[in-house]
Amino acid sequence: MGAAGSILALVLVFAGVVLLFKTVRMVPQGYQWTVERFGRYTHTMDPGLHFLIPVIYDVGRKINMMEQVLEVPSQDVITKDNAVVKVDGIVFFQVQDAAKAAYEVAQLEIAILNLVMTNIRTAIGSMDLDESLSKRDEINTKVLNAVDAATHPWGLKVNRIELKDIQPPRDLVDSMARQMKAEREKRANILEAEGHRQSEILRAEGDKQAAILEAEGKREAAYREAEARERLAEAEAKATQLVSDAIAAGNVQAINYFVAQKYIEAFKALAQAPNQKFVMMPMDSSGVIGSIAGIAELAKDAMAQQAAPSARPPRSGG
Amino acid sequence: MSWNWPTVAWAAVALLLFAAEAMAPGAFMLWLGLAAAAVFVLVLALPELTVLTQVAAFVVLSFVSVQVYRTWFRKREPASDQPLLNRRAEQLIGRVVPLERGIVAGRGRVQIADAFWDVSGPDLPVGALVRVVGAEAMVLHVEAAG
Repeated sequence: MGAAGSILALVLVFAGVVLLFKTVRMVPQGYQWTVERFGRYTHTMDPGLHFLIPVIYDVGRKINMMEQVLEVPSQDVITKDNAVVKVDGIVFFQVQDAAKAAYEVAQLEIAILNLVMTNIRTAIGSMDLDESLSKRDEINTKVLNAVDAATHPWGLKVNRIELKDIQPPRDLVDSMARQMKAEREKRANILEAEGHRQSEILRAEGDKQAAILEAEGKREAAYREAEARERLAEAEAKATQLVSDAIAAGNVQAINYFVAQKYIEAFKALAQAPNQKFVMMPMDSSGVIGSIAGIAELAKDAMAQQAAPSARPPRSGG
Repeated sequence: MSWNWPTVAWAAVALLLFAAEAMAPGAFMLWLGLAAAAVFVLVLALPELTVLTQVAAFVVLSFVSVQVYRTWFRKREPASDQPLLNRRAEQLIGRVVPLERGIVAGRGRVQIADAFWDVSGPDLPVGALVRVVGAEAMVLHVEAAG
């Protein structure tokens, strides 16, 4: 029975190789393999060499325990103010419990991606465009909290969710750029006007100061002038006082002599004026005549002789 | 020990079935393999058995092997290190959570992680802390905590 023995030997070698291959299992670092006994999960194999009873025990799922990154594909999201933006992102997650990741959820990666995508829609949908562009951290945190809580039962730890790009439509970007430009121009104009105003104010301040100083100068001058006039009046008063004192001590007719003299001189000037048409006589000419009489009396006193009746003062008409 | 064809054939069949089972697990070819191994032993012991008898024994022993497993080995299956796998409600037993909706007429609601669970237990106001003590399908049984 050599042939039969040979066939049996061949089959034995084949079966032995297969069974040995199924018995000795080596789990690489960074992975955990679940073990099933007749299809039912029993335990998890850590990295290293393991021996399984073939046929009865078998490797179920080979779970990657390293931190993994998933690309969140670009999707259109509508913001609170109805702008449509394209959003994509990345998710970093790590399996903490191989058995749960293997059996608690079917199609783990698709489940995570869909969860992240819907949560991004929710987060951005509750913000307007400007907010969603400027508050990425807030969106990341919101989405991370929601996704992390939802994936706990799957034995996952979602470490980080980042929005890579939030892209508003082209025309919106253009108008945003225009808005920014206008904003800056407005600021420049305001600053210019501010400068102009400031300079005008400073100039007016200067003018005001000058006017005040000028007025103060005038006031000072007037004050001093008044003082000078006061002094002059005082001096005149004093002089008059002295004159009247002198008159009181002497004869009153002496003053009349001076007055009459001036009076006649004034008349002379009037008469000689080339443009005069008529001459008005002072109302108190009689007083002057009186003073002339005083002069006569003075003369009479001085020369001790009888004065002739006073002549009428000359009159002229024009 | 005579290496006649039937003996070799049954041994080969048994080995091939084991190998096939190892390569494509399904616990189907395992019983056939065990039956083939039993027939191989039978043929060794009783070489004068006809081929028909051998095949009939193979078929009968296939069923017998399943029955033997069911009665003897199934009870001694090693426990899984995660017996609550895929029993989401039972995994929550022992958790203490506040009531999201007060228990009225024996029914209320709690939020655990980001999922809402209906709870049954004594009437309690919103926010009261409850401990999950049991689970039945989609309803958690709770009692007042503390």
